[in-house]
Amino acid sequence: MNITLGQYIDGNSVLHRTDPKIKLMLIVPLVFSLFIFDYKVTFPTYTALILFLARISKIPFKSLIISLKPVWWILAFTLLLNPFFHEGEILFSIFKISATKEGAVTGFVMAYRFALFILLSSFLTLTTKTVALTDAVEDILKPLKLVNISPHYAAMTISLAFRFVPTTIHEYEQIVKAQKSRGIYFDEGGIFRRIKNMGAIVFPLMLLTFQRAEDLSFALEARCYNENRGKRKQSRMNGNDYLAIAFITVFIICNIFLQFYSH
Amino acid sequence: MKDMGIEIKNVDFFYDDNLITPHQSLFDINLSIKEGEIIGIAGKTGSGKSTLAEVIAGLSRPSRGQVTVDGVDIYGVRNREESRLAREAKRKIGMVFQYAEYQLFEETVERDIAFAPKEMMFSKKTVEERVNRAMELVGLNKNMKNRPPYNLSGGEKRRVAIAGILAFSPKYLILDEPMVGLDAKGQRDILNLMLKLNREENSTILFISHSMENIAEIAHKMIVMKDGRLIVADSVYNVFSDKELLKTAGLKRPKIWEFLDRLKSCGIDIESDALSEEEGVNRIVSAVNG
Repeated sequence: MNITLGQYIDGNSVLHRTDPKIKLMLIVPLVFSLFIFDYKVTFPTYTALILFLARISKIPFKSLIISLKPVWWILAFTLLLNPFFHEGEILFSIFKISATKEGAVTGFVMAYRFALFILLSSFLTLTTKTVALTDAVEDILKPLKLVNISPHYAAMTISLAFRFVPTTIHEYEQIVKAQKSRGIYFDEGGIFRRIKNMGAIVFPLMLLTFQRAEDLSFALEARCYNENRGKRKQSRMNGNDYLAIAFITVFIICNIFLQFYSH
Repeated sequence: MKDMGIEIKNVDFFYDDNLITPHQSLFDINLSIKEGEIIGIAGKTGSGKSTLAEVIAGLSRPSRGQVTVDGVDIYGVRNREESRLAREAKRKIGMVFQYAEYQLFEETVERDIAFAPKEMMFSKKTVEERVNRAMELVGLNKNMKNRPPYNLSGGEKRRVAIAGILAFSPKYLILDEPMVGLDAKGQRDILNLMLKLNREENSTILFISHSMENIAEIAHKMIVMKDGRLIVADSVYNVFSDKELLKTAGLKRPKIWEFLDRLKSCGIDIESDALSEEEGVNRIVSAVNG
């Protein structure tokens, strides 16, 4: 099983140096305008943006492709199934189901837009350390204080959840092997037997996870952990951040301009 | 019959958990394990011991090479018949993982131990016999049968987990650090259990251990791993006699051997090559007496 999380690639580019908070907040209008504007406007501009970001951040092209890996089947389905679900000019037919040109275009647009979205957001995780990202999330969650939820604890919980994904995957694999050595074959038998056999993985895994959660909370408490701790790095807006904000603002204004005045 | 035992030929193993650079954790392993042997596997952390154990147990397909169990290739399956044979061969091997107690999941001790034999479609009566026998072997009291496994002690849980493997009577038993995390008595029990299985059930036993004392005491042969390579497979005595080898592998001699060595260097007339504490004590006694 392969899930890439915390795929940070070290570097010292403008993108790396920009405050994670700013990056996180800039992603929102970027994604928003990607999804509301016409694809004829956004596809060229966003493709250029991604190539530009890849160049200045020196992120290898390979890592970007890898970040698309978890969603490749969504992309494939969108591309392959859409032609059959739209009316329009018929391209070809199989068993009375016909593929249309309009469908193919819709499929392509959806898949490409989705890919752009994933690539764009992967820049955030590729150029930001997980710890820094958590701090950013904490800052952004600050309004939660109004409803009596501690933003620090919320951010900590989220980052712990991510932190333990690889550990849990490793444990899952270990338990699968242990049960296999007891003669359980998870890929055979009827549906009921399979469900029953899944129990041999799920129960020990849940038990382990709860146990670790408990251990972890004791360990945190033993070190007097609470939300009033200071941060190791105080973030302050600097030239980099203003540059990033200015750049993205100009970029979005260009998109708006193209959207309304290009016809 | 010829070809009995386990043969490992030219086995390589790559991990590709990190997508960009797959790293190799086993390099060209060749090894043959004869029936009835107790083999200790030693080596530093990350030397490939556990990977090797999983490959032998039929749980991790090697990237290259062949593993045969009693003459049956367990990974090179080309058709249905071979797949059936390979599965049968794999069932001759039981593997006890590190912290085996984490695999327990049934509601009672009895049901957990019975899980594997049930899965292998033995009759109800046989399953019960197997469970009783396995519990007896690991020294669990019969009245524990209906207790939930989660509130037993660490050592007891470990023994339930081992019983769950013994219940399908594997001819070959592989144990990955079976003593780790147990108290002295728990460790002693597991050592005695391995000896008993070897003597009474004629099981072939492979175990990974960081304790040279444990290996020296019960193993006939030992394997030393370093950086994914098998650097030696020889009798325990020969391995511990080879100072250079121990140095390259980063291993130490059993404490009793080291202790007798010290005595010898103080001018006491004594042979230092003792493998068990008992043997060492006897030497000291005879040296003192005359």
